[in-house]
Amino acid sequence: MTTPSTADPRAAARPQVPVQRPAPARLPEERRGRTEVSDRVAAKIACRVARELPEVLDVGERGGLPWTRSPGAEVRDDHVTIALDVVVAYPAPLRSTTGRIRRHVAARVGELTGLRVRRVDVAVTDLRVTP
Amino acid sequence: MTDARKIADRARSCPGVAGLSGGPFGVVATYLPGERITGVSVTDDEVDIAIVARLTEPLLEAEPFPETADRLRQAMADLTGDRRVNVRIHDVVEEPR
Repeated sequence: MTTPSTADPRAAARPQVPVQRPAPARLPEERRGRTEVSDRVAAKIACRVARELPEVLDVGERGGLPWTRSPGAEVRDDHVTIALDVVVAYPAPLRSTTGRIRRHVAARVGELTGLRVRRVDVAVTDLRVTP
Repeated sequence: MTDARKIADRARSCPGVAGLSGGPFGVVATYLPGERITGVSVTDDEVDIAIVARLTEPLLEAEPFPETADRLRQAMADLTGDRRVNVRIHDVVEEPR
């Protein structure tokens, strides 16, 4: 006689029909519904957090025609792409500086908005000598 | 439909909320007799709220938006009942604490 196993192996292999699945747990009320962040908000925050770095002297949102205020960030579903124009202090190595800006902006925007940052385009538009 | 007015008042009293906004093109609104409530729209199964969020200074200690939205939902849970609450962060202002 075989010893009864704790679980019938055939039972595990048997497919479950939807009615047998446990009902999805009811979400607590603070979790029900979407949270959306507008392009403008993502752009404002990106500009603001880029200024937190000491080697960044000025930041602008990029793009568009001069008479339109086009967003420097675009939100799609739960991810965002960001484009910034920055003015950097003169003797800064550009490659590593822009890399640092990119990482910093991505981390801080992600943290504050809850969006996933897909890409951060950084254009250095000017170098300025700081006294 | 005094629900919308109550929801608007409740939303405005949340700490992370600087005000209500109409959302893009001012579409989020409720029309009552002689009154227009901007930033809140209520249907049978959904509530849309469009807010201007407040970022406190210093930014390092600012509350992330998902938390603001969760707090908002929690604050009005008794008014919204089973409806989903969609929070749209339409603009943001920076204010010293």
